[in-house]
Amino acid sequence: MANPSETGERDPRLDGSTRSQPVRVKVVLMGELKRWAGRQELTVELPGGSTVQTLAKKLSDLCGETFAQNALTKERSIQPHVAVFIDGVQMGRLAGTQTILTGGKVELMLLPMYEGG
Amino acid sequence: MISLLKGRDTKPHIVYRPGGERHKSTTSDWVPTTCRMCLVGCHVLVKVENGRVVNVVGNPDSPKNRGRMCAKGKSGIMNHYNPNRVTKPLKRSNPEKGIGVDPRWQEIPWEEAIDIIAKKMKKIYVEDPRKLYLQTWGARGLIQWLGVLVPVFGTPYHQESLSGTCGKSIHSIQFLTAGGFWDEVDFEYCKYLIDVGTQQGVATREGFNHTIADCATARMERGMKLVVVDPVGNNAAAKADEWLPIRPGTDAAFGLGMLNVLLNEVKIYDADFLKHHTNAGYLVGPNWKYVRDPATRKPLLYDQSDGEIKTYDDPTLKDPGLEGEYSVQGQKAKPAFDLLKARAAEYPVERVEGITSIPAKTLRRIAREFGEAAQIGSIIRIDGVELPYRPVALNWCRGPQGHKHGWHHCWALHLVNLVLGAINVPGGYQCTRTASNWPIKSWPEAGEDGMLGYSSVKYRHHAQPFPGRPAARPTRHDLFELFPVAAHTRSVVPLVNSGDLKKWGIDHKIEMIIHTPGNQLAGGFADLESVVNFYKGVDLVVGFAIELNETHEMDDIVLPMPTYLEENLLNVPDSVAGEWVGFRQIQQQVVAMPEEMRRPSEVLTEIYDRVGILDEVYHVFNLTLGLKPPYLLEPGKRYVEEEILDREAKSLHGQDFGWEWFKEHGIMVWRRDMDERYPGRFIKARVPVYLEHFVQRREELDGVLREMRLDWDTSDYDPLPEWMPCKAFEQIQRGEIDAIGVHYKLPYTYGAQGNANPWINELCDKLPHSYGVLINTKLAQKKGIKDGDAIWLESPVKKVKGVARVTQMVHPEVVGIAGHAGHWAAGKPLSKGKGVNFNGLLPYDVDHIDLLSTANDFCAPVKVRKVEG
Repeated sequence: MANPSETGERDPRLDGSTRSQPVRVKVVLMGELKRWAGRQELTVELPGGSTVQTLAKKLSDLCGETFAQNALTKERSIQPHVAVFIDGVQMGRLAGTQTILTGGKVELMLLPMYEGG
Repeated sequence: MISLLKGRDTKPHIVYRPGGERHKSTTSDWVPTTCRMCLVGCHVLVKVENGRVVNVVGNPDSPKNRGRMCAKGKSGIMNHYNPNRVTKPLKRSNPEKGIGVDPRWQEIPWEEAIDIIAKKMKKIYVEDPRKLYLQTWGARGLIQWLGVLVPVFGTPYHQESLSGTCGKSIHSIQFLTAGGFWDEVDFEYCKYLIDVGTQQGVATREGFNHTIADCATARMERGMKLVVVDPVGNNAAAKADEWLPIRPGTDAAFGLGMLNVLLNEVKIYDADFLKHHTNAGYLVGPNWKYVRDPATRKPLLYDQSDGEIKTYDDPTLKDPGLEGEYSVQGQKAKPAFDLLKARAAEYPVERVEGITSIPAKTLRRIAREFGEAAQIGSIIRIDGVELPYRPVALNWCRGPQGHKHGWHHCWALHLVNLVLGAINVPGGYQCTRTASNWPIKSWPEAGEDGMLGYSSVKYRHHAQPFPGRPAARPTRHDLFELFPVAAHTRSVVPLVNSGDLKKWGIDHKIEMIIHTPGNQLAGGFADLESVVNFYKGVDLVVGFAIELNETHEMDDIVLPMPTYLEENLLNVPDSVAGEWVGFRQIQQQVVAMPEEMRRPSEVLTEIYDRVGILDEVYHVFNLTLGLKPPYLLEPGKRYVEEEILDREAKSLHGQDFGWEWFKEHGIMVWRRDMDERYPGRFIKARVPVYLEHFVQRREELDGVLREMRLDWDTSDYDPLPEWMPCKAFEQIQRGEIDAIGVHYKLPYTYGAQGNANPWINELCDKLPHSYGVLINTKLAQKKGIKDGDAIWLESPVKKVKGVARVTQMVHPEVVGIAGHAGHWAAGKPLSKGKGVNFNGLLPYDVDHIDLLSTANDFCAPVKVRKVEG
């Protein structure tokens, strides 16, 4: 599926046009995140209009202390070094942590870091 | 070439290619590709005659190097035709490992090598993926193909960096204050450049080949002043208006001295920038934390326009106070800027002279000149857009960050740019990759407290210093949990491994290493014995090799890899500071690999298939490479390298711009918007001049350290810059050592891999400081040493012999060692035994590591004496 933000189409993830209905999101955790949470997948139900930020707070409750300590900030936001893909699109290409979730799949992973030479 | 694009705004542009017929001749082809003889990645044209490379020149189409190239790049031909090149898999037959121990290599079939590796990986994958350790410096394609194992396999250990210092503070501070990654200078408009511990614009550094020309133009045509602050009178110092020899490990004092002159003496700073784009106005209470609104927990500021206390995001906030003391919620509070001024006031130039050895009157003059040159309040109109004009840059890099307390050295220096508002605006210090509108939309984003929290660098995620992580008992060999604001901590791994893992609470052993030719042993860490013991303790060490370097001598299996003239890669979309075009360059195979070789991507595809993770690898490639239908990689299939590159190119640029297009054209160039070129004032987030979160991170860390009974000094977690002495500084003050050994860079060598090249080796032989030890005339006289004498350098961990090069171009308390020399590997016969291996002189313990960033302290405490007889 083409990314609507790059094709000029209206993207419900950006404008919140589906705010009213609750959404079910499948969350997939990869690499160390899976180990920290003790699970690879979970399904989360969120109120309509929920963002990645809302999901982060939910994951804080569902994925345990080790996950929260390593993957989330003290304010229960996604740590900057955790990569988030929403239906295959990196959240930075959408609206970052304010991207509105409309269902589908959210994948979280740690990626290799640039470290310098 | 770039000027040909002016006036166009259609994306993408197909750039003009000089010698446009270059692909049509069968006997003489010029092929565009990327040089990989250092990290910069200049674009080059390679001339091929009858299937052999006969010349390499800079590609004039490239905004990165604009047709120029350096000696390192040119010498890539000799690396390619290296007679000591590895072309077949090798297996060690001597189980004993150590420096000088012959591995007794045996050639083995590919199938045997792949089988050994796949079986070990599969065992680890089932048992505990953390037993796999990856080192990937020096091979861009392999960074991708091995790095994918982090999310897929589950190992946390992907060490991309080679050195124990590089990237430790430079990237963190770019993320923190601009949301980008690397730094340059806007030479087109800059009027005053200070290089501290770096050679920006003269030798080495990112954008090497264009910044040198730009800097020279700025100097010759516009009279840009260049001041170099460095213990060594290096190439940059030789070209500078002034060279200020500084005592090693005192950069923070220099920075704070400049801040004191600017903030407290001449009172030059960009108040408007500080009020509206930083946390300078955030009120700080007696506990060093923000005073927060009780209901929202948002930091508070004092609005001078109406005398009210407001949250940072209050729409009525007009004029935040930067100085004074206010009574808020029953406590006294001061703006963060006030505290910064007070800290700077502790560094009058006279005190700084005692620390740095830079004369007080010189420092005061330089600081005043620099502040005045910043032209606070001025604007410039570029292509119809008005922007703040701050034509000054204090550039810092490798020198300041490679120290105990390295973070504070860098932070103090960087704040000079910040208080002048000179970051990512015309004329100033430029943080690269801060913002992009096309082809990937990527901008920094505000995080907690309105501060910049999410950088624009996607897909390859640096752990960022803000907000950091709460400290915890370590579970990893790199003690990541004990360094809550560090970007990466892999440089402590051999140190941890040399002791009792149970002491740290680590429950797994590293059983397998896969590494690239970055040469960790010779140039990656410190004290060689610790590093050798680390490799010796691992069951299976696998190295990709072009030639057999010191690290490969610790390998169990060696796999041949292509030279850069045989590799394929789509470089990420890129830009140059302030430049009005963005670009994407490719690296492509210019000549065939030796018949017996196999491509690493093909070998790893086979291994991943046998381990059972290939489908997941493809899935993560789909995500991270931004692949879209119909170009997604499908499970159950296998793809060759060029197919994947084609899908990557078409997914981002459209079906007309696939791999074949890039192979033909080499580079894609597009016009950049003004906010991409100078994003400084366009970012919708504040940047810090006060690191409030350090206070909380320190409290948490202190608690963990108490539990673990570790007696670490955590005073580095100071929200304000501070100078703290390193061990070598104290030792030389007490007269316990003769000199501090420092390492400096040459423009014609790179990392721990270059000198074995015959052309580079010849340069090093003919330029005698390259393999020598710089020693100041005064110290030489005191020690009875003459130029060319053999000398002993003795540090607490190693004693080495060198050749003295007596000069005034080094600080009197310093010996300077260039490049990465002193090779001992049998596979590097040309450079074997020449020069000094600097890293081997470095002590390696907690007292010699920056406890914020984990940078190794690159001050080698040495005694110096002439070799008698």
